[in-house]
Amino acid sequence: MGRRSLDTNKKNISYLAGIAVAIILPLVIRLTGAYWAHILILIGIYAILATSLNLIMGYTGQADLAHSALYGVGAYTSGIIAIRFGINFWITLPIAGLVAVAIGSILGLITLRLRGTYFALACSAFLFLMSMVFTNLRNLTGGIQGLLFIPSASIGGFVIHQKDKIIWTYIVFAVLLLTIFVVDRVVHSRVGRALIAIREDEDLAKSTGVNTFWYKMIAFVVATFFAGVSGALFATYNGMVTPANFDIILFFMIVAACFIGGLGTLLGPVIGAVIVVLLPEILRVTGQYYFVIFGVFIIAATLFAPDGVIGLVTKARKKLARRQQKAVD
Amino acid sequence: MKILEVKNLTKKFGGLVAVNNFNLEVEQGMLFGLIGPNGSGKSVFFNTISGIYKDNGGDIIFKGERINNLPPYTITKKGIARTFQSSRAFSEMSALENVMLGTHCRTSCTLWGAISRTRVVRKEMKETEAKALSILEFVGMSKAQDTPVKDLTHVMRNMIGIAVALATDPILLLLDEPLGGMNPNEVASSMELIKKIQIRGITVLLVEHHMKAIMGICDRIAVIDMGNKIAEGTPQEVSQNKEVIEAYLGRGQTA
Amino acid sequence: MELFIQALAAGLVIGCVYCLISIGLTMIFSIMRIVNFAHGEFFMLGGYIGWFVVNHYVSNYWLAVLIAVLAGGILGFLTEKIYSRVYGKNLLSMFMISLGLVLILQNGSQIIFGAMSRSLFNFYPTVREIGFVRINDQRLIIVGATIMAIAGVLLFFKYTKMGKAMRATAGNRRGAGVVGIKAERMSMFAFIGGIALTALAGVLLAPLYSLLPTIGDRLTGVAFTCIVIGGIGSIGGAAIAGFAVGIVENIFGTYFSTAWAFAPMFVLLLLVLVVKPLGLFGKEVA
Repeated sequence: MGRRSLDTNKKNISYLAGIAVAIILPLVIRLTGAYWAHILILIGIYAILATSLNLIMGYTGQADLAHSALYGVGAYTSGIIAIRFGINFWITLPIAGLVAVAIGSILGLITLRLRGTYFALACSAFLFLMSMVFTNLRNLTGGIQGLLFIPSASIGGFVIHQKDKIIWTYIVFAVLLLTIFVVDRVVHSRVGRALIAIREDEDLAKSTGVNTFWYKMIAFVVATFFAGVSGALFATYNGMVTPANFDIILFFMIVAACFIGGLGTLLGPVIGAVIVVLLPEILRVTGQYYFVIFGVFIIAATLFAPDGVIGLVTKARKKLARRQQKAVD
Repeated sequence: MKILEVKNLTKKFGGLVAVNNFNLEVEQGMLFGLIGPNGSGKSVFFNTISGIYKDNGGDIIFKGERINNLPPYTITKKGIARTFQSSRAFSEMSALENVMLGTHCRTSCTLWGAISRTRVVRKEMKETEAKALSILEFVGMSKAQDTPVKDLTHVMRNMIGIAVALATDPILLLLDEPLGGMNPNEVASSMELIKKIQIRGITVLLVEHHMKAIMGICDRIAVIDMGNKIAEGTPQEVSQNKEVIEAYLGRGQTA
Repeated sequence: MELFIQALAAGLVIGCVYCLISIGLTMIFSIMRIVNFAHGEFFMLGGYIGWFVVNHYVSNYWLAVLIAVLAGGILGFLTEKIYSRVYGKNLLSMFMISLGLVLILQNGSQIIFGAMSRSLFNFYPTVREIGFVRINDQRLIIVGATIMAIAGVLLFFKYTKMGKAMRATAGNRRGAGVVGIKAERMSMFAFIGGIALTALAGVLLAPLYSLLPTIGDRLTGVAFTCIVIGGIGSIGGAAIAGFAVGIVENIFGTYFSTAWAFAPMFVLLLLVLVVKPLGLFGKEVA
């Protein structure tokens, strides 16, 4: 048991370190101006999306191509009920999550019996359908123009505007920490073991006593909840949402974030989100070539670093350990 | 008491009949062997019982209950566990985690428990780990507990497969060619292990090619050829059966 | 009534284009099991290359078609080289490569050809009246070319040695390997042929619609919908599904709103996946 308690200590320290970073970083960044603070908030939102998607894609091994649609559902839900019923942000936030879960569950019920490619295709069909819904249900969603003038969040009488970057960063980071915490707890439990088994060999998992459909649904429920929540965060921070916010490019970014950071790891999606949001900024000098370079980068990453940044780090660590071992012998 | 009764079981793939009107009865506590030439339908038979294939007729009765066409995880939960040929396991997980997964259908922590980690949940997690460790010791794989299964040898993975099956607390254990690829020492210790499993009270249905092993430890043997049962009896009776000898040697098939 | 037949005819023409793209995708998917989400981009490139030839070299449509098809073949060759390195790995790796290709091809086209829409000059604008239908020559060319292409493909797969080898590889890759069929060569030809067909579809349709770097996205969706409805591994199924989708889409768009024109397609896709994942004519492959 000694081994296990060492891991627990390491984990607690990591969480404390994470909280420390989450508190200090926004203050530091804000000093550099509002622009980078905005980027930090965006990174946070993408990180929540990527972490939740990672539960389905990285840990359960299912190619869920509909995730950004549920992000959109959360965003529109929070915007619509805030505008129409004046409900404040702190309530629209969990409601957005729950609505996303409801719709995600329907999607799951329909599609989770399908395997591999068929599942991916069904999800992508759903993604396209949802974007048609966002664009065409004008009375509900504002059509192509989208939802405008979404009420800002407020505590007591104090209104949190978009320009209050530090407060927004703390809100987003708090949700991100919660997401990571929940995913961590799920993954390192009996539930998580079932999910990983499904990823490794679904038929074998079934024969070993796992009701694979049910557990895939559980992964869906957790993931879609946080997708919806991150949508609400975006909608309220941004003040407006349009269908263009939830296009296929966004989905590509989230998947790339999971992949580049490291599928099936806890921190991978966060690292990936940082890379995926910062890369356009760094490559801004290349102008219109940016996306082409990004495309080449992704192909190179797939061919040479399929386990992402975390995978590279792990490999390097192992090599170092082996070299030290050889030096000792 | 009859643990397993198979009555007139048939399984077809299109026009090919893989299992034909097969009848079998396994008494509780028995070590029952199933042998036959390559391609005779042994694995198809196992797959149909464990729920992977749907049958085309007949009854599979386990402890008096008809279990035809139930999903595999339900059948496992009811008490039938199995291993696979080709040492199948969950590659990225460690040996210990593989065996802990085996306990899945006997434990109950769900989503809320995983997140909240109440005392009950934490107790279950500790018990799961302890049970998995003891099963690993039982099969002799304690040293490999933290090794990712993909790094283990073929034979070690077979042992892990048996450990996983044992972790489901089975009443009936279906072993699908567990001795594949083993040298004589490994065969001997595996046979001891299978005997130990029987002593624990688990009924074992064993499919194997290794003739000496089967004849050595089984209480009763059935012989299948081209989907049909061609003989059944004690090892002594079966080894002297003319049709059996013909099936293995006469028509140029190898054991 | 006249409106209906007109819509039907227009849908049939679009269906021809969808049919070609779907056959191209079927060839790649059934032999390589590669999910190429960048498929529609090659359609877009076919159109752009045709436009480029006509606008910058010779004002000859047929030359443009030829060059577009050849270019498609070369692109197929290059793309296969990339995809073959992740053959057999998980779906996500394939998807990431598709994603990378989409980004490169779409934005590359935007850089090379500009973001404004382009138009390939329609060399055959003469409108004829056939029965109740008014149809221009370019559309007739599309139909004719499609019929020839389908016939060619079917004959190729049924009677030629290469064709039979490809069908064998699609059915059972390892088994085919055992009898001496090199799977890598089959993949190569599948890609070359499949992408060339897609590029052909692009250059055929280009004179009738504007060219934008983004037109490929929707067509990828159409192609996948068609192969799922028609059945994975069935060329005939993909063809029939292509026609069906084109007709349904056009009729739906004519009578209801064009905004929702693509909705029935996706709903149908979901239905087929849930009810009969193998599609109408699909065969379970090893």
